[in-house]
Amino acid sequence: MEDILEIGGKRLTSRFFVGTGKFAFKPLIRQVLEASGAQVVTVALRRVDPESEDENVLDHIPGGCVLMPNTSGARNAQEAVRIARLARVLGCGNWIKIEVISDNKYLLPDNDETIKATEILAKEGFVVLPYMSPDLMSARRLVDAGAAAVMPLGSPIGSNRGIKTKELVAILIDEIEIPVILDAGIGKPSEAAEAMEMGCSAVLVNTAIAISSDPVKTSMAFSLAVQAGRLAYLNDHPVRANLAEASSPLTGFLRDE
Amino acid sequence: MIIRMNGEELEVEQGATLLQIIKKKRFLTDRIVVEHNNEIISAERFADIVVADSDKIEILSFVGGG
Repeated sequence: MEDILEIGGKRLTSRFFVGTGKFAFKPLIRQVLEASGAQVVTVALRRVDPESEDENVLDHIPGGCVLMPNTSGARNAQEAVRIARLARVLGCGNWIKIEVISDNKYLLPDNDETIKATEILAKEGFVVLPYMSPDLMSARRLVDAGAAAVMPLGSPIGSNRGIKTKELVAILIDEIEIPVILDAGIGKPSEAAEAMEMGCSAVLVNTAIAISSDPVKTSMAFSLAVQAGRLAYLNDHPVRANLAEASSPLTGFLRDE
Repeated sequence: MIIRMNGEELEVEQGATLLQIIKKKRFLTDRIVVEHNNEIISAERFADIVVADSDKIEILSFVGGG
């Protein structure tokens, strides 16, 4: 039976979501997406710069991908809602990653404003995936507000510090019935595997890929790690013991008596 | 007359439409979303909206982001 992640009416076979920020060359984005098989891709919305000769990021995203615009830049619910409504007009679907941040040092999300924005946008028919600090009460409120998934951070955006919030994310996985997608701070493929092995439904990685010396190979490593972690999660976890238990038979040894 | 486009002052001709401003800046209409005085304007209406003095327009598009 195929292992499908169903969110907002989309049936995803890849649990590896990719962000498109910080890439030195935009054509790398398409290569990364094709090499890794990622199906969900984030983008941001910004004022156009008439002086810029840059091609549009959409030109580098394969047509079959699910686009997930973020509301980065929003400092409160009202700004997030405004950005989401603008993003939807561009005709690339109704998924939205709510990102409400007024902390410029750690870029930690404002859960309260995120909940408010989720409620408004879910009522307007958006498929809402809120980026959040992993707090159980906030996650429950996000579920009640109509979120399609929750996206708790592992560590600050761009820090590559791994899953520093592991215990709190584990609580969300146990208690929240919608997908828990680890987003932010994953620096190594082993951390992506760890997230999946503990029961996350998917992971989102951006910086670790974009700033690596070979983003294509790095994205492949992450994609394989996500698959490995997911396979491990779906199968039994061996019991951990304090004492050793031999793996080879304890009889028939070749010994001089 | 002077309007504000993306936070900056812009001089435009009297009677200019949103579409004329967009075309003059060489923006691709299928890659942008436009707000005129805080109202989202769909692409089909760009030619219908005539800007007035002190109007505020925002023109945005997707960029790379995480």
